[in-house]
Amino acid sequence: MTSPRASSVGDMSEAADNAIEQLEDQLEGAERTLSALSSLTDQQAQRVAQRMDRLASQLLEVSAPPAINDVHNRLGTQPVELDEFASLTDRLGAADGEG
Amino acid sequence: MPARPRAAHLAVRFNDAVWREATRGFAGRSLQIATAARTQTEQHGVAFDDLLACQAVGPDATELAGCAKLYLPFIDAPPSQRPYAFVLQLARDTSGELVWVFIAFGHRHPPAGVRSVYQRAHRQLHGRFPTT
Repeated sequence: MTSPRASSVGDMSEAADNAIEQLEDQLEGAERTLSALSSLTDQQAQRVAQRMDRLASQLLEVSAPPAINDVHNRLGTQPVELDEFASLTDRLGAADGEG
Repeated sequence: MPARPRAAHLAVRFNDAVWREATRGFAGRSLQIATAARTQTEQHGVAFDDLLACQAVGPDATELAGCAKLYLPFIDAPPSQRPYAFVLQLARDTSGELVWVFIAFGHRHPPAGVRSVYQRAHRQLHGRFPTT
């Protein structure tokens, strides 16, 4: 018998999957629309691009990125220790305070 | 195989899954900028002085210690004319060489409803967006 909590977690997972699928469909639709149009004014192209940006951002909210440890394993790399990075920062440009 | 970068330049490594995730939703000029920057940095690497260190803790609670940013497009122009960026993480490869690993692409100052490149990089490194 499935517990109410397990059922609730399952429902949430299914809802997230559905949301991801819907957003992916919308984004693919926007991409198809864009590629099908041979000529857009700058203003139209900007509107489509902004719509796609927002859809992609919504998709990122509900989906998980590739695990960073797997990424490094596949690339055969390992992040440096922070003290090593700090020792090299004087070779980088000045920080801009943005992020 | 990518060309070996010039001295004082470090190679930049791209994972295709991260690249797909980072560029999903970008089209037209922004995607061209990202693709051109990938081609250029894969072929020639990137110089330290073309990069700026990311903040360990940024204004949007982003945690990007060990990372640097490359303003894009990759041209000789003021920052105001380079509205996008790559975020790269410093790493060592199996031979012990220092390399940059691509983490994120996006807007430095995004429009409403869109995440910044710094928030995207935080998500790639920590698995979720920062909570402010």
